[in-house]
Amino acid sequence: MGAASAVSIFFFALSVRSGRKNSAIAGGVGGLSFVLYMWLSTLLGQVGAVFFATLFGCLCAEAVARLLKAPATVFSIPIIIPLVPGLMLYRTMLSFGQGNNSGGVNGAVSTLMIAGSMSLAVTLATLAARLFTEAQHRHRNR
Amino acid sequence: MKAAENDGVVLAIKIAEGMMRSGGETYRAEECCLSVLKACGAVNISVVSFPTAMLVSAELDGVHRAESVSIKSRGVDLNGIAAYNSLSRRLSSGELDVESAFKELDSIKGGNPWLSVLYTAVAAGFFCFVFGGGAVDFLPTVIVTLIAQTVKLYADRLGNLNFISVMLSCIITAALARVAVALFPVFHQEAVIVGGIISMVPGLALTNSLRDTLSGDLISGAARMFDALITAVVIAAGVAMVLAI
Repeated sequence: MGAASAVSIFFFALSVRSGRKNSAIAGGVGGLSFVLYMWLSTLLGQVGAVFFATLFGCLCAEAVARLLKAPATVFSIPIIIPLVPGLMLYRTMLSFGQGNNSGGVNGAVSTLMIAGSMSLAVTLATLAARLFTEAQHRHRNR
Repeated sequence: MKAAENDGVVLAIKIAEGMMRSGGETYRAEECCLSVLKACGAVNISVVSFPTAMLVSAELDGVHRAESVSIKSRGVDLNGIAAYNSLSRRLSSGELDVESAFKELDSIKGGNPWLSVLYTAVAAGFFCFVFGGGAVDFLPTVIVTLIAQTVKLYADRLGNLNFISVMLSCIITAALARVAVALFPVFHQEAVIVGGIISMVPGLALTNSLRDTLSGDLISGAARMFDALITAVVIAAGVAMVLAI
């Protein structure tokens, strides 16, 4: 499953015009993120697992971005693709369309919680990276 | 006094617009715009950005300037994000002047759409495994996605039919999946449909909408969330229409 997600992330990154090297890096990190998510799902539940997997993936994306002097978005977007609740959102809408309102409401709540935890993780990773960069600059300027 | 046509304000808004069209975050587009304007010596800068428009006002060489641009479409183009970001960085560091930056701006182009369709189809095949499909579902998923994405590409060229082209593509995905399973019962219909629609489901848009909201870009966050919800409704409607037959 981890290998399949790594390869799918690689080709997804290529489809949105990322270079081969960047796509391969995103694939590798994304595969690890997904494996982490699958393992943590059994311990923390879906929302917690998605949060930590996204945080791990985005922190790696920020680190690689600084090394390769590219925006972190170039790595973080492909990395989080298997984790985003797109399919859950689609199934929620399908439930509403088929008259299954209670299933739809449950799906909507889960989708929002997962998307919310992912957004928080991405924001925290960006903040951590900025604080680290500022601390580095201050240390160099002493 | 007539303002220059291609000055720092126009450059800044074009770079930020390119960033937004390529799928960059709202705060990143605003930061790029701000840094380019400061590099050009502008003062009293105000930048407001939404997913569908950007408004910039600044004082450049003693002249008050205001520019706006409408953003008709937003996709994901990682090369575009990197290129516009690099352009704004090099302008800020003094490596580029305004004239050279305009030339470089014109050279930033989109890629080969057919290659993108092919990579999307292969990615869909592998996503099919991730979301519960078997090895036997790989090839039908790739073929179904290839056809559906080709139709979407042609539909997108007809004009601003964003949601209609997504719905059409989903109808074709679900219909071809049903035909494939009817011909070869060894395939799994749900797995093929999931693989086929995975590139269109707005999970990333939803996550970005909440991210914009967390960053304080409330209007941008709300607009992106509405966009994501409508896209999800349209996808579900397209698939449900076919499954109901």
